[in-house]
Amino acid sequence: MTKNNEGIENGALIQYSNRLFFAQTLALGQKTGEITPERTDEIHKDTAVLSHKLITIRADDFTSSTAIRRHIQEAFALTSIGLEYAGEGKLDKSVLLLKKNRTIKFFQIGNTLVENLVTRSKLTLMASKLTVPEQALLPNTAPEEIQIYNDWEREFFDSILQRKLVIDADQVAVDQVSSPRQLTSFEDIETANRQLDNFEMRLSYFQALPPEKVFDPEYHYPLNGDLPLHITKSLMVNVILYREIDFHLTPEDWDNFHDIAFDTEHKTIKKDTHDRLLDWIEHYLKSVGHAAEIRKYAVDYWRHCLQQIEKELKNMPKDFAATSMNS
Amino acid sequence: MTQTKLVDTYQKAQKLLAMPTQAAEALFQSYSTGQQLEIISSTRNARDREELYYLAEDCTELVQNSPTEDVLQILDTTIGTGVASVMLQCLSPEQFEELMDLTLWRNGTLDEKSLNLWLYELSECDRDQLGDLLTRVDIRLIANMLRDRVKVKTSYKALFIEAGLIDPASKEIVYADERTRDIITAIWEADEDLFTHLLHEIFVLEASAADREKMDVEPEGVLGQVKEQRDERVRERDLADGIDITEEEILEKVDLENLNLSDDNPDEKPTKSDKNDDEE
Repeated sequence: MTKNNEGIENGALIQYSNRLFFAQTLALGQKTGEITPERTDEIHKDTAVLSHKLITIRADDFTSSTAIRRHIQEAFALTSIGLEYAGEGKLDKSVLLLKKNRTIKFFQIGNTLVENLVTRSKLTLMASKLTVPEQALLPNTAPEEIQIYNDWEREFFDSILQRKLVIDADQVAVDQVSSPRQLTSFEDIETANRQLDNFEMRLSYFQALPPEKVFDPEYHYPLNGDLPLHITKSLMVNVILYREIDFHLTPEDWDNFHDIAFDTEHKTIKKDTHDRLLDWIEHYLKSVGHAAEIRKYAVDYWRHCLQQIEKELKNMPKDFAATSMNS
Repeated sequence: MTQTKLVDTYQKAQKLLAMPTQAAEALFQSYSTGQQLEIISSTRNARDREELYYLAEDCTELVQNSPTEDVLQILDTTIGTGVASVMLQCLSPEQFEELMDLTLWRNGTLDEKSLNLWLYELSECDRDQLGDLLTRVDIRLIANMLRDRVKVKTSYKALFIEAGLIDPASKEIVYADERTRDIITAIWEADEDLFTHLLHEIFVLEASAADREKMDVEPEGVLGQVKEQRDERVRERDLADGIDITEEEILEKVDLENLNLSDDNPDEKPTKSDKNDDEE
């Protein structure tokens, strides 16, 4: 077999990316002599066989070199993730593991981690909604459920179900995504899991709000946009103006909130309003018995919502506040 | 017999593809079978390879001497259109079996969409050829796919089927759609016994739990048995090709809390016995 200096068959459909932990481990093992040329050959053969089997199991179009390339990349990536997990991210430990164990074992570990992530993502997506209380008598037009994720976050879920990632780091609320990319490192799995943690904590926060008020038939939901943000914004306005939990938000309320809470000179939400709101949600969740972790997340989420509201108020001349609120 | 190896087969392939058909056929047919196979395998474009096969007077020998996966790549471009049946008829029954083992299963489960496409394609084949090919598809798979699309409406279903009193045009058979009728008719035209066998298997699948018990059949396990036999064939082929990783291993989930990896003795190399331990 002809190999180039990266240990790749010449003319192969794809090369190991040097960024993969697997490639770095192999390179170190070769450099230190821990991994012999014979073992290197075995590892190459194993990864080729793995890719071949993965294609025969998963590919539904054998004519598409793009699809085949994707399956080969996936085989390498999963092996790399598995090796990184088993070696706890330490290259020297991973060299010994790679030297001593069949390559398929690392693929299985990587594949299990990704499968677990996909399963968790499916369950979290299904759970990430508020449902109308059974005893509530609502008109037909009222929604029966409210999703607590926005459009960007839906993209995040969809990408995970396709074993891909659209974020580079976990966020309190996802407000921008990148092009879907393959999961290639254990950190990618951790990032996705942390993001799912955030959704679970957000669900706890929303579930702590009185459902009969959230699902009040007189409450008009915007058809587009970030619904969880909108509900939180409505709650904030009501807390500041009326000191009560409610989700009605009229143009007049919004106008009044603008007058009270927005510092027009500095174009920011006033510090006392900001602090009062964060204190309020912290105390409210404590009063309903939520753990510190969830309270911390909810405070961070409110901080994020306040930033969004601030942007909205900053870009909106006061005179137009009332008229454009519902757009 | 020593065969002359061709130099730069890729260029030869490109030249043949650029030539007028008649001249290309004459030139291609002047090569030995081995050389023709070299030329075909030098190009990875499925459509180009298909065109090269058809330059032979009869491409059966060439197709049967080609790796099954290479042929599948060509068939994949036309499957479901009715055009693939031309090449399908060149396959040996063994190649066809390998092809079915490869394409009808995705992630360890039966891909009914794929089975449907293949059955449609098969129904376009010459009937004698179809009879030969269908002996290589487990009839229980076809029965499982068609069980909700074809019904035998008679009180004496078992008797009618066993006695061969039913044919595809019988009024007792009701089809859900025309494609199902075409497939069933093609099977009957190819092999009447196979048709009877198919109806019997559909009947078994439909039978009530009590009836099944009497017949000592477990329909829920039928697909499992079919898959087991298919997995065994795949394993044997893989081992013959030097592939020692199985589909079960690829799909196997591991206990992340207990990885059971060797790292305690760095001087020990992975051995065959390590591998066997893993398998145990």
